[in-house]
Parts: sequence; C-alpha cells; structure tokens
Amino acid sequence: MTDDTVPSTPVPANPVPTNPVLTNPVPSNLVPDAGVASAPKPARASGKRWLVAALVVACLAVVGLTVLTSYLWTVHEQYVAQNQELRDAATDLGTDVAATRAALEELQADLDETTAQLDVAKDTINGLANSEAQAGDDRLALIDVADGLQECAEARQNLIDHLNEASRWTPESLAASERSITKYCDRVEDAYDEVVNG
Amino acid sequence: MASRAAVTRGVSAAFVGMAALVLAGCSSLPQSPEPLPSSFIPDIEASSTGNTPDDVVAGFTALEREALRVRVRTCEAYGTGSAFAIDDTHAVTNRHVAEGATDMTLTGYDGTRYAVKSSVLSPDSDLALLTIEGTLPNIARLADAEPATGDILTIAGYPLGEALAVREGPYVASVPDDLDDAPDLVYQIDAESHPGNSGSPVANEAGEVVGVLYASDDVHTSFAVSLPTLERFLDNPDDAERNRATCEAQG
Repeated sequence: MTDDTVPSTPVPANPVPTNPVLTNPVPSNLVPDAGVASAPKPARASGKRWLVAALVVACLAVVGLTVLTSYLWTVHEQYVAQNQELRDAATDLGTDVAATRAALEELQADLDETTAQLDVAKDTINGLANSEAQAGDDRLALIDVADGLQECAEARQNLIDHLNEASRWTPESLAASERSITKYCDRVEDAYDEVVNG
Repeated sequence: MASRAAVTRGVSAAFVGMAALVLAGCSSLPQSPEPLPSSFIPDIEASSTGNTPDDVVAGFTALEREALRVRVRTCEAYGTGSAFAIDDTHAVTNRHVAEGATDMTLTGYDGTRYAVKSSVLSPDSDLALLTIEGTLPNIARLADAEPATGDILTIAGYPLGEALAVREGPYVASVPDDLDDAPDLVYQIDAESHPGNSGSPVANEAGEVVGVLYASDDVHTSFAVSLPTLERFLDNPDDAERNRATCEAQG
C-alpha cells in the first residue's frame, strides 16, 4: 500500500477504505511526524463530522421538502378555489346564455309574427290606396259622363225647341242637328256603360 | 484539521448544490393562478340584425314611398302612369304620360292625393316635370353615378294603373332609343314592366334613382331614360316646353 512517489508520507495501517477524500495528497506541513502513530483518531473525528454534515444536509433537505410541499399545497388549494370560482362563473354564464337564447327565440317568434302582420298591413294599405285611386278614376269618369249626359239633355231640349218652331228651320238642318245630337248622346251612353260595366 | 476542512468543503458544496437545485426547481414549480377578471362578458356594441332596414316605414321601402301614381285626363281619354318626387313640390314622369293632359292627379303609396298645377315637357327626351299643390313628403335621391352592367336595378310603379308593385332585374346595357329616336342612349333592364309603369323611378341597390322607366316589351325587358339625360333635363328648366292642352268643343 505504499506509494513510491510519496515516500515520506506514512500511510495509516488501517485506512478508511470507502472515503475517497483520504486518498488525496496531504500538504507536507500538516503531515505528522513519522514516529507518531496516531492515525485512527482523525478517522473517527472525520467520520463524526461527516455524520453531522449528513444530518445537517438531511435536516435541510427535510426543511426544504416541507417548504416545497407547503408551497405546492398552497398553490394547489389556490387552483382548486379558482377552479370552483370558474365553474360557478361558467354555470352562471350558461344560465344567462340559456335564458338569453330562450328570450331571443321568443323575440324572433314575435318578430316573425309582427313581420307577417306588417306584410298584411302593407298589402291592406296598398289595396286600400289602390281602391281609392280606382274609385277616384271612376268618379272622374262618372263626373265626365254626367256632364256629357247633361249636355246631351240640353242639346235634345234645344232640338225639341227647334222642332216646336220647325217652320223657322229647314228640315235638312233639323235632321242634321238630330243626327249630331244623337251621335253625341250615343257616345255619352257608351261611355256611361263603359264606366258602369267596365 | 484536514478532515474538518474537507467536511466544510463538502458541506459547502452540498449547500451550493442544494441551492442550485432549489433555484433550478423553483423555475419549474407551478405558480399561483392569475387573478380572475371581474367579468367574463366582453363589451360588444349591439349591431343591427338587418331584418328591418332603416328606410322601411309601415312595411314600405323608401323607393316604394317615393313612387307616385299619375292619373291623367286628356281631351280624348283617361290614362295612368307613374312618377316620383324630386323635391317637395315637383315630380318627374314621362313626357308621353303628361303630354296633352287637361287634368292630372298624383297618388302616394298611402292613398294621399296631390293635384298637379302645371307641367313642362322635355324637348328631346321622354321626361316631364310636374308641379303640384301641397307638399310631397317622400323625396327621391338621385345617384351620383350611372349603374354598371349587371347591377340589380329596382322599378317601383303602378303597372296598368293598379296597385303599387316593385320589380327587380339586372342592368344589361346602354342602347339607342329606337322608340323615340332620341339622341341619348337609354338603359336596357331585364325586368318586367307594363303600361302604367311609365315614369317609374329606377333605382340602384342603394335606393338612389338612376333612371326613369319609359318603355317595355310587356314581358321581361324594360327601358329607362338614363341618369345623365334626367340630370340635364332638371338642370335646364328653361329648355322645357309648357304642357298645354285645349280641347275642342264636342258635338
């Protein structure tokens, strides 16, 4: 177990075989005299220190894990709470959406009905306006026919007056007047028939 | 002393390693959830459904309300046509509707009647301008531009002197006026119209008047006086002819 390259360094008779730290070279000023055989004592002290260190590390690890676990638990609780809050909000919104859809369908039905009624009302207005316009056309035509009939009556009365004084007029002129008046009155009667019977 | 230093170094290394592990681990640890917003409902401005256009009143569109029925009495006969208001006292119709009239009455979509006081005729196109007593409530807007080929045009009028009717069809082309031999081109429209529709406003999809219907084949093709011709007529009232009719005594 001796090393030719470090001849002046005594090697413990029973070195700690599993600790790689002990295989490191040791500064010469810390090396004990060759005549002092006290190697086992540092090994035990070093083992204690390592044990303490391990305990400290273990304690720190436990503390760390505890902190980590607490943190994760806290975050988990926050997520659970927020998840519940979101579910509640989603439920409320879903309820609102359902109510809004129902109201919308009702409004759409009302709108359809109103639109249908509006179409009917429009047709009614259009029909009434048309009827009034047609009545106005007929009224105008009837007024003209009435005027024509009045003129016809007056013309026939004039003809009768002329016939009563037939001696003052030539038969030809009386016949011509009668033909003219008859033609005019026939046209008025035709107009009357057209207005009345279409 | 050597072992103590070694332990110190080892413990320090362990601390450093643990600290590094903790720091590295913290970056991948789940964070607390973000606070929730006060409301999940965004502010959305209400928009129109498009079911009820703004220009609809009592079920009638603006163009329908602007269309007028014309009743004409001449020395020889009665006739009907269509017209539309261009301001509160004037309406436009066809020359062949108004020419020779001894009496004219306009009727609105709701049956309101307006007596025509006087009228003037275009010397070179089938247009006439009527002046009414009272006030016309629904004024048509003239378009800023002529229609493009394929544009859907709407005709609102009183075919055969009957009820108000609306027809639609695409603008086909500008063609010579074979009927009146007028100098201007006229619009050919693939839409049905009939006698009585003469003078009807022809509107684009915005409801603006682009022409005045004056002829049809009584099946599916209609013809309209163009927008430039209408604008020229309205811009030059001094060029118009007085519409006078004197009936000779009958008998």
